[in-house]
Amino acid sequence: MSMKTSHATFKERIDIQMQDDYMRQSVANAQERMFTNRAKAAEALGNWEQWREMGKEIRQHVLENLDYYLEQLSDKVVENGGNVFFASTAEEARGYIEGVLKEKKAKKIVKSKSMVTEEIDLNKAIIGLGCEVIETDLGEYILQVDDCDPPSHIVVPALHKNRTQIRDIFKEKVGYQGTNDPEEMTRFVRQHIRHDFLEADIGITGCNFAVAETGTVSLVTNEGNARLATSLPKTHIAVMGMERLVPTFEELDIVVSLLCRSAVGLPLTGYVTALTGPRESDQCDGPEEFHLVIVDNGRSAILGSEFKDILRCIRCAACVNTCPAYRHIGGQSYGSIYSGPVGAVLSPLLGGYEDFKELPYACSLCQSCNDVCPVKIPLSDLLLKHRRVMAESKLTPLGERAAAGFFNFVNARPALWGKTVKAGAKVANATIKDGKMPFNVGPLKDWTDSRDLPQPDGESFRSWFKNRQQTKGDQQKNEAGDHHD
Amino acid sequence: MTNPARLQNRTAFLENIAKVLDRPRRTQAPVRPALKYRCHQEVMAGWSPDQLRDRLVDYTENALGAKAIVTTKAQLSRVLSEACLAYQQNTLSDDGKDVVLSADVRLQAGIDINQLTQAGLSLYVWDSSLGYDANIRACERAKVGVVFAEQALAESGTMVLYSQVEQGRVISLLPEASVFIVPKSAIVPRLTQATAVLTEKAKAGKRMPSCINFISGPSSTADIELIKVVGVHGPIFATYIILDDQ
Amino acid sequence: MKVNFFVTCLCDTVKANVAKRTVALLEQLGCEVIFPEAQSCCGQPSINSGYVESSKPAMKSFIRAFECNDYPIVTPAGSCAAMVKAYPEYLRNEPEWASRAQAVADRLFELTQFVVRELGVVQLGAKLVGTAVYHPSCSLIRKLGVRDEPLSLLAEVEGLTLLPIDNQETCCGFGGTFSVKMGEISGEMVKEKVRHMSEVTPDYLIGADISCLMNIGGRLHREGKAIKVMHIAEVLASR
Repeated sequence: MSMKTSHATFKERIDIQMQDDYMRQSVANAQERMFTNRAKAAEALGNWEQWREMGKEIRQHVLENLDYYLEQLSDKVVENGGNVFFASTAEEARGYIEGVLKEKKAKKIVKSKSMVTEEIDLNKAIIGLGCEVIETDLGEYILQVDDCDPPSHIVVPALHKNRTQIRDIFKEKVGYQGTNDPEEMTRFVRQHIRHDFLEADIGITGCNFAVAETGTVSLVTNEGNARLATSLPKTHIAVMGMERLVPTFEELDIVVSLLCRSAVGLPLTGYVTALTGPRESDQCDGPEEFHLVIVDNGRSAILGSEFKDILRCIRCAACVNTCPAYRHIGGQSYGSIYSGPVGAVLSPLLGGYEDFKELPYACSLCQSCNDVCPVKIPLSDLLLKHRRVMAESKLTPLGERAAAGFFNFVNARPALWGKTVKAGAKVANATIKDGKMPFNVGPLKDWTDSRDLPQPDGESFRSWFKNRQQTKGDQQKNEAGDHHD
Repeated sequence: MTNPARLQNRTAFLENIAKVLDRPRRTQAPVRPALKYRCHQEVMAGWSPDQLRDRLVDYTENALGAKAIVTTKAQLSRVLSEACLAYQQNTLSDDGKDVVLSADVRLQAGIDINQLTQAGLSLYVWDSSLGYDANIRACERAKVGVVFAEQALAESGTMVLYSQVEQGRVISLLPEASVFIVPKSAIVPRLTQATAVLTEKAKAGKRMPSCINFISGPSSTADIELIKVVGVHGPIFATYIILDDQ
Repeated sequence: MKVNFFVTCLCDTVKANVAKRTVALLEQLGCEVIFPEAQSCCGQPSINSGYVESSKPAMKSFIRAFECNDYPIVTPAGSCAAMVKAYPEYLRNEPEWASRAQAVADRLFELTQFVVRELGVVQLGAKLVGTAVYHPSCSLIRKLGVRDEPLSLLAEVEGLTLLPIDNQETCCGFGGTFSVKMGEISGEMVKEKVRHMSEVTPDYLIGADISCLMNIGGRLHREGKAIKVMHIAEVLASR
């Protein structure tokens, strides 16, 4: 799956998604649970604002010195006996990984959940080589088995499916005979793909954070699949976005703590695994060969832009879990593997405005995302920046640009504005009856599709105030006059 | 000197980063700013070993759905036997009744193998010299894997394992149940103290163990309807045995 | 004390009563209210749609309008206040204008903020009998950090009981041009807000941002709900 997950238009996607009552209920429940869990975890830790501030500063420091830390990281990986490939593009990353697969004559690859491998469309390349690739994270496995259905959440990719849908998929595709009980289905997958881990030639993982000082790749997981994928196959390939690192283990503590609490509301997830190079020569399990693929794929352009703050992101999905727009349209509406506020910021940057131009507008600017982000990314401000870039490079509809131009022309001329307001009040007062206007087109229709118009209060305030001041003045004059008489 | 074949495309990649950052390439270590706050150091600061142990037990039992047993050195073999036997009776399928024991000297010194065998356990002790296949096969058919933890984190109910010759990665991964043994003196408040040890190691120029695991309970997932299911690809059951060594 | 009144375009054109009540309230508190006639819209519809560059003349016109004196500026709308407070950032590349914008922004207060923080008053002698849901608008709580001020004013209103609702601090879905540009999403958001409100069957919906009240009120009207929508200025003027 590449970053773009759909060829339908944004409007078509949200129309389909908003009909999906199960998905919407499920997302609403999930948001509430995850939001509450996150809030409780932050509260339990205490000093959350200090933690966030540290998280922000650590990530900021890394971005400002990224060339140094990547050099240190790569030197260290090689010193530890691993290999490092710097990939400027998705093609280069795929090409390198294909090379490793061919050299190893790999037949079977087990993967643990990784967004960046989705972003570079790695599975397609692997299958193109005639290899079998198994997504082993339960959520990703469900989606892969379901003909590569796109993910709807960064952390819980199959959030949009209910247990019965999942049972039916398993029944049809992998011969499952059991009930729709989540535990039974989970055990089935455990048994069903255990042999794949044992047979796999190569394990591919992402990287939550690399540690530059030691050449370590850390993985934050729950299911144990990432451990299997990095313990049993002879070769481990880790793919990381170039910004996903910290200087030392001291900073790793802070960012992992922020990630686990923000993503799942726990002090730590089931497994935090820190992998340093291939196994030592005297040990017998773990990979003999380790490859780290460091991917740019558009990130350096972001680093040099006004959007660089988004590179602090640690992919916890706290913003997704609080976003009221995401709540109603679900993840697949974004048409990108990255959904929610972070997806709306990141997708146009990595995939271009052409495919993702609507996403920055799918936001009421409520700023709830800014408040929960553990590394204090001003997501809502970045969405506004996107709108500005599109408006100023004329990517917005002509009618909208004309309307904005007209509005700004009037609004910058106080006398004209005053007249417009007075006239507007009269028109509104004369035409809005019981929440409706006699005509219902354009933005008016978009509004009245779900709500009525306000009942106007009569003349404009400014007319009233002027009259009042005049009356007051007259009274004062009269009073003064009376006094003199 | 690094082998160029093992390090590809680096120069152009890093030059480009320097370019977008609008400055020359940074090749000297930047001043790493000290962490701004100490809130991570303050979590459970000043707690006694008993308080940390109680917190670990409480979190493990109530939040992780795992067992925590506090015992003494003298009782360890008995407690360990009982824990393993319980899992043998309590597992999903009947094939395989083995217990794989780490060869960690701290573990081996603390238990009486004969007592375990007499209790009815069939044991396999990890042996790297036998190679990958033999050890993997043993763990794949075993019901229980027993390991010795470097540290335990009270805040999150976490066992810290370093991969080592005597204790492979898969002992705590392939068998259905994991038993961790940790001395009370090794219980620390949180991840902060565990990463501090690793930072010290790094400063001393030592290579990190190739695999360090922070394990909190059995494996789990919430990928179906956000319902927590314990036991996915990793172990389904876990017991922490805390050795009262103080 | 003399204060400038920034009416906001919605109050000026369709909700003049809210503006009138605000003026009355300020006068009750001993303020002499000045209405600088040259004031216009804060520019939100255009700025939040990305037309920042072409909005700058209007921002400057707004700044000029309120430079007529040095008195505080009071407005009965959190979102418009937040917008003006963002001017200095937008005008960053024109230092002279940025500092003029800052000076205006520093004098600008949202109504409840002004009454509680600047005047130090919470008891206004208001009386309104019944139950109400208070909607804390995003602009108020997240952009301006005004969370407790409206609540402390409402707590003093005789006969009024506030009812909590689920997801109280979730956006109502207005979002300015979002409400028409993304009408379907906005519509679903306001439907959910109304659903949560209806669960507690209040007599009133109270807020301090007229735009949110128009949005939620428009939905309440559509659903034929007998919940009366009131701006906090109207509540505080009730006797």
